[in-house]
Amino acid sequence: MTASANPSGRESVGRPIARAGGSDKVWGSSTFPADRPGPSGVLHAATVRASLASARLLEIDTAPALAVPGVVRVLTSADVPGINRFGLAEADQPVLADGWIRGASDVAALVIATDEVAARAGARATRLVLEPLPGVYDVERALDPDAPVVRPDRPGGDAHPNLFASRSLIRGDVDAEMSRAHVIVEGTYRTGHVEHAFLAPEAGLAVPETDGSLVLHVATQWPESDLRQAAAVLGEGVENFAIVQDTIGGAFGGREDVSLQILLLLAARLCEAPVRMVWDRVESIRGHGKRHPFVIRHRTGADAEGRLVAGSLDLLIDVGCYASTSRQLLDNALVHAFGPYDFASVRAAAQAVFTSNPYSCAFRGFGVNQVTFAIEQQLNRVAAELGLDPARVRRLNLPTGPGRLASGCEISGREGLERTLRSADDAAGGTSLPDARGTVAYGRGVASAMKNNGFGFGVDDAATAEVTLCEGRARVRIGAADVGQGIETVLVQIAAKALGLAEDEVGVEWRDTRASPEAGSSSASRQTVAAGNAVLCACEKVLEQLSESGSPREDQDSAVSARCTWRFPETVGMDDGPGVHLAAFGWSTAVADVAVDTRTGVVRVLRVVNVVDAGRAMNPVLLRGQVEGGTVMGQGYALLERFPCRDGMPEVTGLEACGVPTAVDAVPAIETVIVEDGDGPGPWGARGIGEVTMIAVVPAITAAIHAACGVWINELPATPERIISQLEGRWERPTSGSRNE
Amino acid sequence: MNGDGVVIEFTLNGKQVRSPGSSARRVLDVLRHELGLTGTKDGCGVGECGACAILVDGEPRLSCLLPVAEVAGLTVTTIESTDDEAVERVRSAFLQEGAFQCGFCTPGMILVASRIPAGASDDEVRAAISGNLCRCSGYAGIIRAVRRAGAGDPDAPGEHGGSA
Repeated sequence: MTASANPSGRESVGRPIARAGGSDKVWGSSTFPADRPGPSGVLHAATVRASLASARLLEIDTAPALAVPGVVRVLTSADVPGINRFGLAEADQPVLADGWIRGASDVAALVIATDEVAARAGARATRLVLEPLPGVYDVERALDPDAPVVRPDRPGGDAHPNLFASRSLIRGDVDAEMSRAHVIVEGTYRTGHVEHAFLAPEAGLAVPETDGSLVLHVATQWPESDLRQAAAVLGEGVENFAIVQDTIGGAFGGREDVSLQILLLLAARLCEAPVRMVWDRVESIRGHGKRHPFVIRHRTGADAEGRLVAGSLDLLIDVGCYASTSRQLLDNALVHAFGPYDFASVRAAAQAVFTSNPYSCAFRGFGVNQVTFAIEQQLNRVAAELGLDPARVRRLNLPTGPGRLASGCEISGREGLERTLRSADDAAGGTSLPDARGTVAYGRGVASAMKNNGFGFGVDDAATAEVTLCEGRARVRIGAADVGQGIETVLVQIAAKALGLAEDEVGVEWRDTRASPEAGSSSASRQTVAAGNAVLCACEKVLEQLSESGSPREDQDSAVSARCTWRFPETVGMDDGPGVHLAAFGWSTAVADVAVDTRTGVVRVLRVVNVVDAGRAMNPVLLRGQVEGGTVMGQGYALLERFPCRDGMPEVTGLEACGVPTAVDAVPAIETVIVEDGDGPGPWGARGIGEVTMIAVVPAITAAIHAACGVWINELPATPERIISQLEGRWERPTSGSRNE
Repeated sequence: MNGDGVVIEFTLNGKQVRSPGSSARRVLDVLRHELGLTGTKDGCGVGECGACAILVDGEPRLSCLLPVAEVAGLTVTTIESTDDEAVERVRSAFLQEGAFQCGFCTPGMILVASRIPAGASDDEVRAAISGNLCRCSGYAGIIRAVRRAGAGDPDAPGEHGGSA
């Protein structure tokens, strides 16, 4: 790709351009959805939710709510004009519960009132008659023959009715290779639910326009998907609806599934009035999904030099009560489950099962965090068993050039991981840990991660941009949601570089679905690549038109416009056998230094060196922010964050109880190291890095805990109680290394 | 909103304002709904996240836990303030360091950070903002911004100030 000379003499890409809209954010003048009071005559909505996660919903008595002054209407499932089902990948969630409560996020009724206080009072007054139903709350019991059936509404088959999705793969002769292994390491790893904890709770405002259409002001990762789901529920064409994005107060995957969008559109349509709804934190925590809990069983065989000869793996994934994207997540986890490493033979079986727990959904890493924690811990244990340097074991098993992952996915460019290992050596080497003092022991751990860019698995994964150049200014239209990661700024930089303009001569318009073409979801580390390439391509088309017209661009005063759709390279689904399941990957290696108090079990992370292969850094300040934020989110996942439920209902109502790291908890020293080899799939060789920044941090911390005190963590988070239990040997060590003699 | 007949007066960002609603009403709601200043954010309503932090007579307070009666006659500073030098210094440092992403915690964070004494250690800075949650940044950029603001170069040019 060619870049035009920038007349200002500056190279826009690669410079720390200030964040678009940054000034509004530091003055408090950005409009988040809850900041929109709504026009006069606006109505307010409040949800009615059940006190149980698994129940028959026998009756909804709306009379007491309608008696509350100000309440104008109470919506129930009978009011839904179209199909009362929505869902990001398959429509299996009721907008308003129709006879059953299957999970904590279900909404039984929606109270509409002239003010917020009346709406909430009406919601409290609405009486639900529930008959408790047995549920499945332990993912490891979900496939028991006598387990209650979580989703009797789904078509049955020969398999257990709670089995949502499964997949297995075999390559080579695992039994033969395992019997020849010098060392076999077995491990069972458990990870739990995690709350996204984006800072701005869900809110929105739906407004009927004079032409009969509805405009929804909201914050979402994928507006067009929301509208397609809403259109089916309302029984109308999708062209009747639009989203105007307000400022998005964080997302991390938690705004990819629909929360209140359809409820608001439904209410505005039925009441023929603007309707506003703001969720408080308690409702936000109940209302969106959580990170998938996993149970991961590994058996890993290696020869005396540390070469991986056999891997046996069982994955059990808690889907919760609704499908969301769990089918896709299972495949994504499986592709990453053996890491980038070469195994002479592997056998894997993965199952995703329904439970009555909160539904599991996308969350920064999309299933890769869980499996990477497990495989990296396995690799570190193999290295420890053999007395080898863990980085050396990784290098030994890391093929270069085109090849296949152990899972069968065709891949090239695994050198990227090697580059991060090398940089991690350089950055972490030369510093040493303090000597153990009293009960405090110190340790350093290393781990690596890979994470896909783009959806893969045969999905047509595209983004479309429209660029108009007029009188020396460029207008870029593309519906890529800026969730805080800074994609708006990155797109400004890409267009500025491509067109040879200064950044303030480029405007990116992404908020209004009526004006900006679809960029797909801001997820899967895909927007710098997908939206970035679409913008670059549209800019190049504009330049081509200009050169064809032959007029020097300075003289050109009529608008030149071009549109371009960019697609990720073609991928194949897992059902279609081997091939390119995921088109592109990003790489990272993290080194963590920790202090473990062996008396209390408290772990302090002293420093993390986080090496990320960005391909090409678009904006070093934004990139550093992603790495630092990912590091602390990884630290939280490793040590602090939890989401206890009882009978499927969240036991926590606030962020503190979820263990979200504070400034005092957060790693005090984060060293960001960016590797740029310009070989990524994005503009000028960029890669998407939003997710990979947090993934290696988790196993690096658990490896460091082992280095400090000899405990191999097999359950997240690594709380003081778990560490002390293992130190005291109160728990039978569930896993251990063994040697074939 | 039912009032209780008490009109609360206080100084908001240098101007006298009156709140005719109930004296038990949260300052957060008075600011956001009565006075239309939505820079102060409602992130949890129970004092856990710090997004609603304001300054009352120069001291950081959580407006979600503060009945408006408690600010009667006092001076309230919010993120919209244009005349507080320390706030301006931190605001400008946040822009220069890129100390925010989604921006929802930013108003409360800036106000609390503006009261950290110059020369505070990183640990002291962390303790001072430990009541303000940020899920995006890992706090590292925020610490750098506070350090920069404390170093006292409010006029240092930013990379590319203002919104793009």
